Amino acid sequence: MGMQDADADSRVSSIRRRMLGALGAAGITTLAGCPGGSGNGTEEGSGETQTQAQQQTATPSAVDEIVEGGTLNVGLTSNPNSFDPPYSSGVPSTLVQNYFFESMVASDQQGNLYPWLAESYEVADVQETDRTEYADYMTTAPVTTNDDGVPIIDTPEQVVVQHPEDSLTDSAGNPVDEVRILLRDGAFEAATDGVFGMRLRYNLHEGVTFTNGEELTAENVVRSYDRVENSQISAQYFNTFLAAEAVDEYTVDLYAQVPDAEAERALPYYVFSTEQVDLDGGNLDPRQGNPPIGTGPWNFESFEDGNSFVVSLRDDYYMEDVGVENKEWYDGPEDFPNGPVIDEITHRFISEDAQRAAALQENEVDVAHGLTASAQTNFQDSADYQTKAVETGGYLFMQYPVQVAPFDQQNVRRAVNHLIPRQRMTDNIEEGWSRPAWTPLPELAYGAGTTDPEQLEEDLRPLNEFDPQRANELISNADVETPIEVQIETNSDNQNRVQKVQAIAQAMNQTDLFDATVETFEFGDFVGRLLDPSYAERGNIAVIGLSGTFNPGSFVDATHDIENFAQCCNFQMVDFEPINEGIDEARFDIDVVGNQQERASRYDQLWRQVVETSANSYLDIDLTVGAHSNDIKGFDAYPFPEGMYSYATYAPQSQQITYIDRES
Amino acid sequence: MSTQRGRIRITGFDPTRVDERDPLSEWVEDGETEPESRWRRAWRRFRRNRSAMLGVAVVALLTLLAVFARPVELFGVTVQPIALTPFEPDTILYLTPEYANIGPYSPPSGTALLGTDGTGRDILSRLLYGGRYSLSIGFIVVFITAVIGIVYGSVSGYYGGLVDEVMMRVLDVIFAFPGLVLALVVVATLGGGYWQLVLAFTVFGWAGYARLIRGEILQVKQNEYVMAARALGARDRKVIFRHIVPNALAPVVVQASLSIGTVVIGVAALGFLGVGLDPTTAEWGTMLNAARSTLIQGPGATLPWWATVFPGVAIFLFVMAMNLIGDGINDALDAQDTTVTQGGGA
Amino acid sequence: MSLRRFIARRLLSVVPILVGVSLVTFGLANLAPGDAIDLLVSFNPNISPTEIAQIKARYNLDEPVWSRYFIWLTSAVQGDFGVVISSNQPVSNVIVSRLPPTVLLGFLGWLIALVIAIPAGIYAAVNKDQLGDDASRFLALSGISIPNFWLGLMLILIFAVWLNLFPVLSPQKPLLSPSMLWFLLLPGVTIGTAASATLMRIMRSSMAEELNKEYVTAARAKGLPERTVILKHVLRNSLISVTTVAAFLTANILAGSVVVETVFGWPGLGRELVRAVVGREINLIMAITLFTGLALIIANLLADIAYAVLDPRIRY
Repeated sequence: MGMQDADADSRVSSIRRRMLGALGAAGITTLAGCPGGSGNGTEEGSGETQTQAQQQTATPSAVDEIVEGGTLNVGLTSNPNSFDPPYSSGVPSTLVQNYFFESMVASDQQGNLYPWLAESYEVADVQETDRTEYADYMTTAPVTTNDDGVPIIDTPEQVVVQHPEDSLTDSAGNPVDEVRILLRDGAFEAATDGVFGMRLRYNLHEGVTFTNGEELTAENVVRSYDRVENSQISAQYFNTFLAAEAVDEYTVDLYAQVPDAEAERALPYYVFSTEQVDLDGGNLDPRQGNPPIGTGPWNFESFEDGNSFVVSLRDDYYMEDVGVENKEWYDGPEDFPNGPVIDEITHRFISEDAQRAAALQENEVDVAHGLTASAQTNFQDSADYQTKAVETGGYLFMQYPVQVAPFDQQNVRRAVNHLIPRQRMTDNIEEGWSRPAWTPLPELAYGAGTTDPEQLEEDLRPLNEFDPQRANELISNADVETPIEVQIETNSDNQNRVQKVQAIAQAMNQTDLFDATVETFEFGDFVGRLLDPSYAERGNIAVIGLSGTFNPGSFVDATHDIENFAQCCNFQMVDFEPINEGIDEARFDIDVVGNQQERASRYDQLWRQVVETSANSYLDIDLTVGAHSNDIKGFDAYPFPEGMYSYATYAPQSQQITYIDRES
Repeated sequence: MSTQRGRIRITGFDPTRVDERDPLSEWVEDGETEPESRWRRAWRRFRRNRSAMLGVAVVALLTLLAVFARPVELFGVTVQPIALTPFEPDTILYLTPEYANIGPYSPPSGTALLGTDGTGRDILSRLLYGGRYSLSIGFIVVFITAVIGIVYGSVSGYYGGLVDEVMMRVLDVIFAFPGLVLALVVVATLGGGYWQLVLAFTVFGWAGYARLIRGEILQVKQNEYVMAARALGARDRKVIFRHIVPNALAPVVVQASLSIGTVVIGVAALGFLGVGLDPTTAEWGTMLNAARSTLIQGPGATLPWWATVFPGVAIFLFVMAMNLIGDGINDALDAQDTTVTQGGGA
Repeated sequence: MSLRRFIARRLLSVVPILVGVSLVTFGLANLAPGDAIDLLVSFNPNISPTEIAQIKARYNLDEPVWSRYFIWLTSAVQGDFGVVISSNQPVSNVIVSRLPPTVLLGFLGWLIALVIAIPAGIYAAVNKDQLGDDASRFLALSGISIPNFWLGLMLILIFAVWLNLFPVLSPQKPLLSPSMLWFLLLPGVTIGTAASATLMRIMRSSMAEELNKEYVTAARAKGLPERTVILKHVLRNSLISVTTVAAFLTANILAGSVVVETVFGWPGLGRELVRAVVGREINLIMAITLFTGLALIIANLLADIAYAVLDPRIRY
């Protein structure tokens, strides 16, 4: 897994390629409820401190061995909701979308960015701007309240920026009459006038075509952001995105609102064809007669709702024209293919874990992911199958009711933290297919997230070890009566998660310090419960999964930033000023834009603060695992399941390609 | 209707006096005893039915095991102190200092006689304790639905006319739902949980009894003894409950005993779909659901068969026993073949 | 009353019953906390309250319950059952694509149930109180006592995995092709087991009763071969009892489809209902329950008609 690091580092010297970027999966921090699929990652569980992700070299030793052609059969977990990227959510949907839609940059497993549809790009301009400077371009909009009495801005337009000094409520808590907002026109004006935080310039390849024959131009890129307006993901993008401008036919400028170390990753989005960019929200879907048209290497063949999904290889993929060896960053073997080599991929949707494992076992599918820990162990041990694993970009965490006594005391929270049997949970429940979260930072974000991952773990692990004695000390120092009664809650449909929570409760109850009970809720109910602002007053502990991105900040801002209160993932009104500042300074500071070392060291301090404050306890980080038969060569996993297959079939940035060889 | 007008008066006849007077003679026919009530007779026949008695024995055994599995506390007072099982149903073995090496899905051993489940808990303890849920939900639901159904059906059948029409239409709406579908929607609405499940199965369960009783009453209404009772001026309610219902009760009793099995399986089915009791509960169906993914685990897998077989067997045994009992009652009471007989497994 | 009037009366009651079904379902489904938008929010938690309000307005989720019911009712009457919020697909599309698989599975279940139950019931009745009778009785009771999801999983394990006789996944072929029907055998058996057990018991008891009747003795005395006696006379009269449970068993099979389709991954209405319930998709829940309700009402009606036709003594 580190195979690209050395080379990549040498190329990462320039501002252009920093350890940021997400393949397709936009920078969304999401609640990982994982209904339907349980367990990830497979690993030799041996009770060792660190489980090594088992990874075979994914690149073929010689390009000559690649066999072209064939049909790959994939076993997926669930049906996608929609093929329309801004109007869908969840892994199953993004997974199918990634076959068709591409972005100007692509990413590898460590999150390094590579110009993709763009031949090259640069951070052209960074300015010390804050959001108040857009005031001249803002208009006003009235404020009303919705049914729950929450004040909302009454406008049908997409709000790009709300003036930071204009709150929706006055000091008495009553809604104000109006508020200043920046709309898209105003944003474009500001950007072209020179009022912006950052400007990134992308030079597109010429001759890139969509599957309908249309050529990709800068105009497509700019228009694609129109599709994001008022969609399900608009909040993500318009938090940082200011405007896009087509400078000429093949040059695009993207503007960020403020200096943002994540801009290179956060700004680019999928590119839609002119034919489809104006479709009504949700209608970009074969069920509506609009099969996806993208620049990707795959043609849409068929989709049977709830059943199957088939794609076939294009013969006019742009990389054939450009030639992967001509890509600036390419440093692999000669004659590396200019696109995937598999003719066709058929996917079956199999939501039952047992059935999926059976399908793989019976060779009715060639590859599957999301199997149970035991199944993955068995496939790994078998001579006819292999597993490829990579640490997931997410973790399971516990959030304390920091506003409610006695959990408003740091000592109490840290006591609980010392009673979490992390290692035993990994060994017994995940059978080694996960890593105890001694730090809240998954491997994929190590690049910008820490200056020295091993040192970080060494420093922080003692704060997270199972230590009933220490817990006793902490409680006796706290102002509290024992046993402390508390309810730990999680969603019921993820078996592994429920087992972990039960283990924690029992470990807590084995001391006399706590009297913990476990309560589970159906996922939908649980989400509704958590997102209710009154949840923070209840005094219950919540356990849920977080799915982040390559951005190290995603592993702390979701759970600590007060901006995210009553959303994912700050349910308990966590609000610690030093941490809030730390989050901001590690991303939105002009000193860290372009300076990864500085950024990483700021994060190092932040992690320490986070673990000491213990507003959250981090339980484990699991592995994304693909299990496949020996006929499939070169397959590799990806930290986000939604990118797995599109990455595995062709990712020259890692010299990654999958091919089928059925006779051996 | 006035009870006075047109009332036939029979005088000179005093039933109590006849009952209490001395027998006219001492002669008693050999072997003759008092004419047995229908129920007494049925009981004797039931007792002689071997498979039915086997069912009773099994149910009794399961009940005893459930009660004595772990101590029972009522308002802080230990009412039942015996603990047949070595562990609490919730104890995770690998977290205890003595049994740290017994992990999840351990095969049956000296410590865990039936093995451990996916969370590492002793299956035997959970199985015995879990009987409390299945058994109690089954009996409670059937009892409530039977009572509601009997009252509803009696009223509807006895009064007839418009009342009957309206009440039957309501029944038709209930019957238009396949049982599990309505239970699914109810449980999704109210969330899972013990009383929510009871409610979910009660909501449609009474309809069968209502229709059954109503049918019986329609038949029986024309019978002479009912007419006689009414002629003698008995009040409607008394007529229904004193005369009609006891005679119409037979198929209901059969139905009820067969329904218990259906409810238990239904509860397990909802747990299987993920909307039943809390997944950590020791209820048999929920235990089965938890082990569902272990059935097929890749090549060379040693399947933890004990996690699926034992709870499944428990459900099977209980339901089978109830069905044997139901059949036995059916034979004993000589009840007519009910038009709405029970089937389980839904 | 005559058959025709009877049928007409029953048909008239279909609409009020369906309205009743829709009312009950809508009321119940809307009691649930949270709606489909809350679930969407869980995946995109950065949505502001403003945007949530905009989305809810699009789907009329901001109206009070009774208003929403009337909106639904007026469009449903015109054939528009609304959209599935999470995928933006019209509900009618979903129903149309999911209905045939469920119908096929149901028919197959019924077929299997009949094929097993009727001969078994006859056999048991003819050999009453002998070993064959006891054995079949025990088998029938087992069939009713086994939880059907467990049975399904066991069948997959034994016949698809260990013995390799059946595919694990449904083949990608048209519904009525041989390979598809072969695959459906296991789910069909699973769903039909309980029904066949019940049917068998009824066959047995009603046939046993018939065999005791005088006309049988008379026929035998007349010298008719046993086979004719059984098949021509007794069977026909026994079938009357079968029709009385036909509707009930259809309900059984429909309820069973919810679980069986989930176990076997069969893309039918049952599995769709579970997903709709979990996803709080009111429109989909309404449409599916209406369809199952309609199916049951029709089954009831057909059973009553068959009953009336078969037994001239009965006219409701």
